[in-house]
Amino acid sequence: MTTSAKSRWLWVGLGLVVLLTMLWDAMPLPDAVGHLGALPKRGADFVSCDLPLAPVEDQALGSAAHLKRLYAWSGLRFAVLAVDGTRNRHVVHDPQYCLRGAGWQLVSQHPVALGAGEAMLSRFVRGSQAAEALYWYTDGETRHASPLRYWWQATLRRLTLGAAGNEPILVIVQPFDEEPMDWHYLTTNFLPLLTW
Amino acid sequence: MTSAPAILKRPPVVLWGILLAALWQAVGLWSDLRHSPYLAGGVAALVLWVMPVAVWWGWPGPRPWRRRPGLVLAWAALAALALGATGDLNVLRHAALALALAALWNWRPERLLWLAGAVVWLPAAGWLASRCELSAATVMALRWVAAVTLATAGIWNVFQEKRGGHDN
Repeated sequence: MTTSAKSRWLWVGLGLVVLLTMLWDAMPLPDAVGHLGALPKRGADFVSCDLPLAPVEDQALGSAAHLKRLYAWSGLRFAVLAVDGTRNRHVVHDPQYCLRGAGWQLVSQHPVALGAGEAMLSRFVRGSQAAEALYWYTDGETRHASPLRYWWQATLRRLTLGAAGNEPILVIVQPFDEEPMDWHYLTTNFLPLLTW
Repeated sequence: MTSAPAILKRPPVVLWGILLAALWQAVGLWSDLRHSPYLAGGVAALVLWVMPVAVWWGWPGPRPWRRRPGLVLAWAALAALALGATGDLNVLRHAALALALAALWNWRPERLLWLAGAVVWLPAAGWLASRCELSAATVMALRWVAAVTLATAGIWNVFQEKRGGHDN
């Protein structure tokens, strides 16, 4: 094959890539807003209220659908932040990456059973400050704490235009008060989170 | 039918089209490089990394271009672009940009090191570094050292090619 013919095939390839890009951009994926809204705001033994995003969260999340609430249940107060990356998957980060980037140092982490799945409990320090976060990804059926697995789920879903399953959302739970959190009690008894 | 020459007088124009498509796809890269703490210095690292290709293009005289490796790199860039767009994968969009730039100069085996050196600005490398428990400051220092080394070695390599008459 002559060089000009090979260049011509490259032009064809480039045209196809541009076409494919525009096609995929034009076909919206079903989002997980319904899944976000399925977390009850109040129940027989708990109440919640919406919390405003911190400026840094607001900037990071952009147009991504999200919820941030303060829950009070059984003497515990905790903040729940959940993000649906359907419109922009790149805002759904590995939470440890964000915290490390903000200068926090990971002290410990261990998996915690959560319903039929698993979450990750991480502890961080920054100078004299300490922070804890429990996080997981859920598509409504499975719960896990692996950023790589999320990455793969989100990719497969986009490659198949949504046929590969529901969009996983990232859930981060943090204590609202400075008292130590009884994570075991929370993760084994607070049903709305276990079944979300 | 005449067989194609192994070395062309200059890279084909379509490679600029592929580079433009890769830049279009990687438009979010600039924001990532400026705002993520683990990517501090990433814009400068990218500029340094591109320098050898810029010097190769800016050098007066002919620009001989090895056809086979150049075409392989161009098709690899297109494949990365296609998968990056359909899977919404930034890591492949960024890889496509690196491959499209690599296709634009005369490929030589030692330049594989330069291509692999794209980790100095790839945002995915910042995430991997964070998983390795490296601090953002350490990553930035490593990035600077690697980017300056790559730029220096790459420009020296171009200088040798142009002065030594390799492939000319």
